[in-house]
Formats: sequence, structure tokens, C-alpha cells
Amino acid sequence: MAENSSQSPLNSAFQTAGDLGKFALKKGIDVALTAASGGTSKLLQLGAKSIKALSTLSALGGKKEDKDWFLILIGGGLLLFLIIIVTTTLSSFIQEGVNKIATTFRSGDNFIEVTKTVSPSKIENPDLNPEAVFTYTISITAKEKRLSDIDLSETFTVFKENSSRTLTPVHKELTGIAPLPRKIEEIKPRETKIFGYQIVLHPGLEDSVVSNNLTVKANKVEDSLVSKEVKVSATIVIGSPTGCFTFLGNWTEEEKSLELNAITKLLSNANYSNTLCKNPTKPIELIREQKCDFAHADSKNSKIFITNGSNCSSFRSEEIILYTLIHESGHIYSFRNSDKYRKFVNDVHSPFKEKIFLCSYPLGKRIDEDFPETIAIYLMNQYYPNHLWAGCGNKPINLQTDYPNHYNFIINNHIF
Amino acid sequence: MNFLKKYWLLIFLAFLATVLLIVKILLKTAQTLPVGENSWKGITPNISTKNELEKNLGQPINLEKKEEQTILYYPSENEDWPAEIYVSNKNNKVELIKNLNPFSNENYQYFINKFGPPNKELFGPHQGAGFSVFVFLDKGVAIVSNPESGIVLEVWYFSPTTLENFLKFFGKELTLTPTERF
Repeated sequence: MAENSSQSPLNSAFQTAGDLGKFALKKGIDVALTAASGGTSKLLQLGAKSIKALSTLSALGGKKEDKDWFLILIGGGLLLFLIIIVTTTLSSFIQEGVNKIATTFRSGDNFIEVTKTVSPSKIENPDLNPEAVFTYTISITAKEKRLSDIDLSETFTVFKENSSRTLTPVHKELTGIAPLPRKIEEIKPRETKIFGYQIVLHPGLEDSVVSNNLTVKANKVEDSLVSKEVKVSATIVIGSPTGCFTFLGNWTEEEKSLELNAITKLLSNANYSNTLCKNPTKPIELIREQKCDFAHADSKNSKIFITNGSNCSSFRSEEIILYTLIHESGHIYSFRNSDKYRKFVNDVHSPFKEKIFLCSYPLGKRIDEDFPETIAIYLMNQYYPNHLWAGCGNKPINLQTDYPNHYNFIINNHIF
Repeated sequence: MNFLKKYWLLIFLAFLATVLLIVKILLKTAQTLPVGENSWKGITPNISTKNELEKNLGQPINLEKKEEQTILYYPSENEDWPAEIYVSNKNNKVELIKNLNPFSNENYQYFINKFGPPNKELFGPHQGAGFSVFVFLDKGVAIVSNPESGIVLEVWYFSPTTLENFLKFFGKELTLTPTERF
């Protein structure tokens, strides 16, 4: 599988998440200290009163050493009391943060950057009863150039038991934050617009993934009519919705959430999903490995190993997570569907055809890698058409025009 | 008795001729025996020469000259895939035939029924899709197949040999254990 060395959206996502975390922690500490300082002033007042009382006591008589010890005891007690108040306030704040997992999903190109944060991004099945409320926060940034005539559209999809359907949840407005409009007139360079809203979900969605897909299309960049489009999806995980995939190894909740986002996209394609998952007694194991390596598949044993990526900077970006999952699932697809693989061998790689391998796969020219790569690039063209691939130059791949034999194989054999 | 004495030389010569005829028939049978197993369209590795190849199959549709071998491409049962015949540049003998026909009716079980279990499973270019190279060393045949689906992508014909020589001469890109597919 290939990785784009020039882009690392997840790094930025993590940085942002980290910044948000730091901000939240700082805010929490501020709140705690404010609360504590409120308490402290009262305590100090109390302390002052005690000292005044002691002075009175001193005036009335008694040894000086006894008074010193009495003062140390009172001061120490007050200090202890103060520490208890601060730590209790702080720990209750952190606990609340842990219970409400928010995940930020990010996408962008050279012109637009879009992030979408959903909170909570994971709930258990009983939390749906009687209803569960989710908050979405969207930020849209114009990078270097002015964007205008911007269209926004979004859809909600529920993925459950290897099939998907659209959903129209009830929306609620958030106080102090603008709801997501259908159109934005203009975003100035380096300006960020922030929107937000809530949705309400009810029982019936147990063990599912609710995916929100937002498309931001700027019809004008500066004065040019060349349109630029960015899509971002944010997913809510309810219960354990893994389709024919199962998680093994040390996955964090955030990594799982990002991976489920990719699973949802992959399995939303009915033909592929039905063919890939036609052996339900043997689920596909997604095994998390903390290694600086390429992901790999053991197709015979239905295993996919997910690593940090060859450069090992972090867990993969949303785009690379999807690409990796599709490519590796393609190995299992080819093993479980040899007839499709032999058709690929014959239709795309026979000596009478042009023997071309996709440029996006960096580890050699092999037919058994070109097959999953074809599946991956076809789907990536749908979700991230502007993605740049190391090894393919500065131009995104268009499977249909750049590799017609590969594209025709996908279409003629109804892979998706 | 007089007949034997009179014509002993003639009888001896007739007996000798019969013996020679039987020996010749036996030798011919022994020579043609492997043709049915490791030959393709009457061409047998290590026996057929380039001249015989061109005499039997005509001119190749394509030709690729390499340092030690020349690959000659001939039409096969599959119109999309020509067969590859590797001929030694040293002695002009056919060394290896690769019949690449992903839509052959001969499946994995066909070869198992014919040759028994393979001597070795090796791993090569189609490993990522579950296809291994199954070698029948004493028969001079190898197949590229996925046993679960039974599909056979390629059939290779070579002169019966040892595993070591097979890997050295015909399976340089093959491995004894699976490699990770990325």
C-alpha cells in the first residue's frame, strides 16, 4: 500500500485535537482555580477571623509557644482543605471529559480546510434510550485565497449489518453558535467560519454507525470561476457495529472511530460489501500493530494488519486510513473471489493489453498488488478525487482516463 | 533335423531381427512416455529443439531475446494469452513452457487426480490473491492455482528435476514461505 509523503492531514488533526485538549484542560484548570479561589477567599476570610479570635485569645492570656502551635495547626488545616477542594474540582472536570469522547474529522486541499467535530462520537446501545443528543462543530477555513459563492450540503447515512440507508435526524440549534447554512457568500483568506448544531437519535440504531458527510464547494476562488470541493465525514459509533470486520490488538477509541469511519465508507458500496463479506463465519480481523511499517494482509487467514505508517509519524490520516483499508480488503476480496481475480489478470494484464501498473503502489509491479490497488483508487476517486499519490507526480489519478483497462474491469465486472 | 542344420544361419538371422525389432519398439515407447505429461502440443522440454518447435508450431507471434534464453510466444487455447516457450541460447533446446490460460477447464483437482499430491507448494507473483505454485517435480509439471476455488492460472512444463534445480532454473522469483503482501 502507498502513503502520501507530502500530506499528513491526521498530523494536523491530532495537533488540533491536542490543542483543543490543551485548551480544554487549561479552561478546566481555570474554572477549577476560579471555583477554588472563590472558596479560598472565603477561607482566608475565615482564617482572618480565626487569627483575630486568636489575637483576642492572646490578649486574654496564654503562653506564646502554645499560640504559635495553634496558628500552625489552623494554617495547615486550611491549606489541606484548599488542596482537597482544588483536586476534587479538577478531577471531576477531567472525568467529564473522558466520558464524552469527541472526535475531529478533517479534510482539505490547498484552498479549503474543513474540520468537523462530533461529541460524543461513541455511545453504548442503552444510551439511545430514550434519546441521545450529539453536537457537531464545523470549521471552514479559506487558506491563502478568497473563496466565494460557497455551497454547503450534507447527508446522514446509517450503516448497520453491512447495509446502509439515509437518515434524516431531528436538528437542534446551539446557543451562541450559528447553524450550518446552505450557502456562504465569502470567506476571506485565512478566515475561519464556525458553525454548529445538535442532532437527536432514538432507539433502533443499536450497533450502527451514523455517518455525516459534508460537502463544501467554493464556486469561486479569488476571481476565478474554477470550483474547489472538499468533503469531510464525521461518524458516530453506536454499540459495536463492525460489519464483517472485527478489531484485535491495542486500538484506542479514537483510532477505532477513524477506522469505523473508513469501514462505513467501504461497506456502503453494496456489491463490494456483499462479495467481500460473503463468508460471514470468518470475519476479517483488523489487527492493530504499533509498528513503523506498511499495512499488510494475510488473505488466506482473513487478517489485515494496521500499522502507524511507514514514516511512523502518527496513526494514519482519514484519507490514508480509508485507502489502506480498501487496498488491504482488496487482497481478501481477491482471495475470496478468484474468478474476479482471474478476470482481472486476463482483462488487464494479458500480454496483448498494455502491461500497465497503477503508479500509486510503490512496492513493485505485481498483479496481485495491482488488483487491490485498482479497487482502492476507484473508491478513492469517489471520496477524495484530488488526493495526490507519491509516485504519481503532482496530478491526482483519474482511473477512468489514466487507466481505462483497470477502470473498465471495475465497471464491466460490477465490483461496486 | 536336416532342415535346422541346413538353414541354421537363416533362422539365427530371423531370430536376431525379431529381437532387435522388439528392443527398438521398447526403446521408442520409453522415449515417448513422458510426452503425455510434461509436453505441450507435442513439444517436450529438454528433448524438443527450436527447429522442431518451428517445424511443429510454425513461426512464433513474438520473440524476446534474453542473455541465456529466448522466449518464443505461440498462440494458445486462450486468445488473450500466448504460451511462453523458453529456449536455451546455448543448445537451442526447449527448457520451459508456460501455458498461461486463466480460463482453462483443468482445475486444481484435475491435476491432483492425475499426478497425486504435489511435491511442494511455492509462493510467487499471485500469492496476494491466494494463488501458489504447486510443483510435481517427478512429472515435470507445475501449476499456479488457488486450491480453494480450484482455479488454475498457469501450467508450467519442464524436464523432471529436483526442487533445488527447479528453484535455480525455473523459479527464481518463487519463495519457500509466504511473503507479506502490503
